[in-house]
Amino acid sequence: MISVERRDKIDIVSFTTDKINALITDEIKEGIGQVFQNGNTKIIINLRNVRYIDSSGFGCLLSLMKTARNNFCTLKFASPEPAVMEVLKTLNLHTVFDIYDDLDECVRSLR
Amino acid sequence: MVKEFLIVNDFSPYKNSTYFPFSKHLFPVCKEADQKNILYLFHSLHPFYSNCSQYTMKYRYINTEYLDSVSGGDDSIMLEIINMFREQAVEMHNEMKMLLAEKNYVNLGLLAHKAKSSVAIMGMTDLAGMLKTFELQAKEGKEPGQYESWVNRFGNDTAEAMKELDDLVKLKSGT
Repeated sequence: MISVERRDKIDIVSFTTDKINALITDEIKEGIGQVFQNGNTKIIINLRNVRYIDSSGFGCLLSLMKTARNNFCTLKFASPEPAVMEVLKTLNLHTVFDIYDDLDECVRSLR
Repeated sequence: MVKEFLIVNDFSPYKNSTYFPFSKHLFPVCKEADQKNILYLFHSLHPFYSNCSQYTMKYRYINTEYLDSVSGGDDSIMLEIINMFREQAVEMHNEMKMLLAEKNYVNLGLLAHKAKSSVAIMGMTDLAGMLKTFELQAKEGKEPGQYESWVNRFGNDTAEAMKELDDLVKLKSGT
């Protein structure tokens, strides 16, 4: 469900599914948790092509953010689709998450 | 909307701008326990709420950080400690009520001493402090008029702690 690409010592996590819901949150937590355990401190979650996130998906993203802070990692989000961005704003999650419209811009911010 | 979220909104100095409208309208299939957990995560991460203990203190009676340190971060040990506490607390409360009825204050004091360590493991420092007073007074037979309220408080606080522990166990087991 996820793929991890390493660019300039930054791990970029992308999704191979367009929905983040209860069916895959455990897999996502486990996969990204592995990235944290590898001692990587800069991680980007690329939300490109993710068109739907349900409540457990948002819970999963918040949980990952918490894990990142606990592990002294920087976690940022890039390229949310307009519909997802709208919900992120509705939930005021843009006050908690660091979100960039563009992946390259997000990568530059972590260099 | 769920009442809890409205309360949070009312407390917010920014009103309507920074609260977390994570409601059943937006997510009708979200379980209440998940909502509470998500709300807790949001508050603990938010620059404003993270500094306000009323939002980030998820549990009122137990101290999960202390439980974590006692169990060395091992969930199976933590569950074992929690199960032991459940059994002991109920048993101790019944015994306290019995000793109080018998006016057996010396043994009541000894039991308060035993109960003090059990609640301290759960991080219930206020209750442990009360039990320390209870122990000292009961051993001397002083202030017997207070004992009933102390026994009741022990019963009430441990019952509330057990509800919080149930919630914690659910979170740990991911159910």
